[in-house]
Amino acid sequence: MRRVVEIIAVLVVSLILALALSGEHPRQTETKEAIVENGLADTGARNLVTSVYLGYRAFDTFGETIVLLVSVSGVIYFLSKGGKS
Amino acid sequence: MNLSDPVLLIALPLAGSLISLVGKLLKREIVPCIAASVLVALSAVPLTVQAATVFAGSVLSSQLGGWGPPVGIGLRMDALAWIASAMIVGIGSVVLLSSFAGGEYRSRYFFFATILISGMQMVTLTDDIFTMFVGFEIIAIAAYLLIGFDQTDAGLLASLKYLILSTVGVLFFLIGVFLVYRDVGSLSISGIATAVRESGLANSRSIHLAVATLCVGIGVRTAFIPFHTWLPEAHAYAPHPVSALLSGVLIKVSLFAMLRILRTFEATYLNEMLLWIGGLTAIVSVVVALSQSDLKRLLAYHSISQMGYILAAFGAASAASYTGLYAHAVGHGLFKSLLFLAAGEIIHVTGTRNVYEMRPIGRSHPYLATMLIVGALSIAAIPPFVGFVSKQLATGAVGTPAVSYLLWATSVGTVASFVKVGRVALPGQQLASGGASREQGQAQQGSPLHDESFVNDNTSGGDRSTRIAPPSAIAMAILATACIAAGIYGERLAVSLSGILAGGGHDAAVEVEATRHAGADTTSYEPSDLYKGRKLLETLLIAALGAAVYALATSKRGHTITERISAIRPQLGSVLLFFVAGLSLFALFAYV
Amino acid sequence: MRKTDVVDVAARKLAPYMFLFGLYLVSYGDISPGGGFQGGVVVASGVILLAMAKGSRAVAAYFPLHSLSLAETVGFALILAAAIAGLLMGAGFLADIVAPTGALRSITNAPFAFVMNILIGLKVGAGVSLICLTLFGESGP
Repeated sequence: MRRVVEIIAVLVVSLILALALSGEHPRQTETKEAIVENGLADTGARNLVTSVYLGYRAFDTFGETIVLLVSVSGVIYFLSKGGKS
Repeated sequence: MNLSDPVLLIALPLAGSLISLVGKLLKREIVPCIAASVLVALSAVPLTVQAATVFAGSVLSSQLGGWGPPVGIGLRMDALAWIASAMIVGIGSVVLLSSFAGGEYRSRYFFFATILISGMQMVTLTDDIFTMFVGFEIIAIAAYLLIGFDQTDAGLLASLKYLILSTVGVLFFLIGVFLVYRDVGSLSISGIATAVRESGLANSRSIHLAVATLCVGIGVRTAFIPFHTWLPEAHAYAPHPVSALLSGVLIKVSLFAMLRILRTFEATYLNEMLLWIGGLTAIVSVVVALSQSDLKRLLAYHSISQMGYILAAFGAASAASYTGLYAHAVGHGLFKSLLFLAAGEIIHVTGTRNVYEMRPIGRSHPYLATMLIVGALSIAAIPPFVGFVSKQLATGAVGTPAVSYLLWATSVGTVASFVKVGRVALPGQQLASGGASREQGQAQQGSPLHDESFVNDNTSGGDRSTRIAPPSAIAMAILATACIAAGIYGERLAVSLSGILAGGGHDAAVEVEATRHAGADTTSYEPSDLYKGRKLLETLLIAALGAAVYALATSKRGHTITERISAIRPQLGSVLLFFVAGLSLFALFAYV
Repeated sequence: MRKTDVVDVAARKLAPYMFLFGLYLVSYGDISPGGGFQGGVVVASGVILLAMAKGSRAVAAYFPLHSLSLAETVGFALILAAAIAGLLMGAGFLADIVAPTGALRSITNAPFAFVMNILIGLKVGAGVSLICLTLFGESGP
C-alpha cells in the first residue's frame, strides 16, 4: 500500500515537472547578448563563463564558497566530536 | 564607504563569521565570539542611517560589484525589507547575547550563527532570485549544523530531517528559477516584475508552474501545512538560543521571501488558497500543540500555528491585512524568541522538558517566571502585550467568516495551551522533587495523568545549578521590554506601519493588488480601535473559553485524546509525501 | 579493500598529473574552460586518489589536516578581504578592484578573476580534500 502511494507520488512529481518543462518558449536573448557583447571588455576574461561567475555574478560564487566552507567546518565538527551521546 | 549601502548588512555578519573562524586558533575563544556578536549588532548603525530614507518611501538599491541588472546582481531595500532586516539584526543580536550564557557555545557556534544571519540578510535584501537561492542554501546548511549542534540523538535526527527536506525544497526552488529565466530572460526581481506586468506573462501557465515550484521551495522553510513536518522536531531539539533564532526570525524571513515572489508574479490567484491554508495551519497545529507535554515541542507547534495567522492575513490581501501580517510577524518574532529563551532556562532549572513534571518556579525564580508570563500573555493575545495588538491586526483584517472563525478558535486553543505552560510560573511550594509537584498539580485538576514518561522520577530537580546567567537574563529582559513596549504603543506603531504600507516604499505590485482589492475591503480599517471595549470583551471571552478548553484537555477523556494526537510522529517517508502533496496542491492552482 | 601494487603504482604515477592539470584549470580559468571550483576539485581528487591507495594517514603526512584547514580559512579570509576592499574603495562589494588590462596577454588580462580563481582553487581544493580525509578517518578506506 505504502509502496503504491510512493510510486504515485513520484509519478505526480514527474508529471508536474514534465508539464513545466514542455511547451513552446520564445528564446530570451537579452542577457546573453549583453554578456557576449561586453563580457571581455568589462571583465577582461576571455572565457565568458568566468566573466559571469567572477565578474557580473561574483557574489553568487562567493555565496557558494561560503556554503562549501560551512560544510567543511560542519563535517569536521560533527566527526571530530564523534557524538556526545 | 557609504553607510546607506544595504550590502553592509550582509558584510558585517560575514566579517564576524571570519573573526570567529580565525578565533578557533586563539586560546581565549571568548574574545572572537564577543567581536563577532558586536559586529552583528553593529549592523544597527547602517540600519538606522537607512531608516530615514526608506521610511520616506524611497528605495535604497545597490549593485554588487558595480554590475547592474540584467546581468549583475542588485540589492534592494524598501520599508518591508527594512523591517525584516531589523528583525534579523535585533533578534539575532539578542540571541547571540543569550548564547554566552553557560559558556558552552564557542567560536564554531558563533561562526555558524553569524553565517546564518548573513544568509538571512542575503535572502531579505537581494533583488535577484538566483542569489535568493544561494542565500537559502547558506541558510539550510548553517541551520542544519546549528540544529544538531549539541549532538544529542534527537537533535541530530531532527537536523538530518531538516537537511533532507530543505535540500529537496531548494532544488525545486532552483527549478523554478530556471523556469522563470527561460520565460522572462532576467533573474532580477524588479526586472521580472516589470516583464510580468508589461507582457502579460502573469497569466501564462508556465509562469504559474514556476511560481508553484518557487513557493514549494520556500514553503519548506516557512513551515505551513503541509510543509510543516520538520519544524516541531528541529525547533524542539535544537539548542535553546538556536530555537529562538529559528522560530523567531528564520521562518519569517522565508515567509517574506515567499510574499515577495508572489507579489512579483502578481500571483493573486493563490490568495484564496493561502487564506485557507493559513486558517487550517493555525487550527490544526494549535490542537496538536495543546496535546504536547514537551515544552519546546509545544512552543514549536505554536510557531506553526502563528505562521497560520500570518499566512491567512496574506491571503486576505487587503491593505489592512498586510499591516496585520507584518505586525504579527514582528510581534511573534519578539515573543516567540522570548518564550524559547525562557523555556531553555526553565528546562535547565527544573531538569525536565515535560510541562506536567515541572515544579512551579514562581517562588524560586521569580525573574524567570515573570519572563515566561510576559511571553505567555503575549502569545495568548492578552492586552497590553504585543501579541494582543498584532493578533488583532492580523485576524481583524481577515474578511472570510469561516477562516476568521478558525483563527478565533485558534486563539482559544492558544490560551488553553499557555494556561498549561503558565502554571509552571506559579509561586508553588518549592519541592525537592518534580514528582511531588506533579501530584500537587494533579490534585488541582483532579485528574490522574498516567503515562510512563510522567512516572519517571525526577529527583535531580532540586540540586542543579539553577542560577540564570546574566547574558541570558539581559537577553530576555530586552525581549520582554520590547513585547510590553510594542504592546503599549501598539496603536501608534500600527498606524505608522499601515502608513508605511500605504505610502510607497514597497513593490509596485502591492499597490496594484491593494487597489484591486479596495472594493472588497469595504470595512474601513482603524488601527486606533484596538483598545476599545468590544475587542477587550472578546479577549476576555477567548481567555475564559481557553481556560475551559484547558480544563477539558486535562480531563481524563481529553487526556486520552491528546495522548493519541501527540503520539503522531511523521516518519521521513511521510514527510516527503507531505511535500509532494503540497507541490501538487500548488501546481493544481496553476491550472485553475 | 585489498591494496595491490597496481593501485599503488598507478596512483603514485597519476596523482602528480592530476595536481598539474588541476593547477592548470585554476590558473587558466579566465582564458579556457576551467576555474577555481573545477580545478580545486581536480586537485582534491588527486589527494583522494593517493589517500585511497596509500591510506589517509600516509597522505595526511604530506597534507596535514590542520594546514588544509588553515588554507581554507586563509582562502576565505582573502576573498572576503578583497570583497570588503572593493566596498571600502567605493567600487562596491566584490567589485573588480584590479581593472582589466587593455591588451590581450598570454597568461591573463583579467587580474582580478585570475587572483579570485587561485583563491577559490585553494579554498575548494583544501576544503574537499579535508572533507574526504576526515571522512576516511585515521585508518583510511
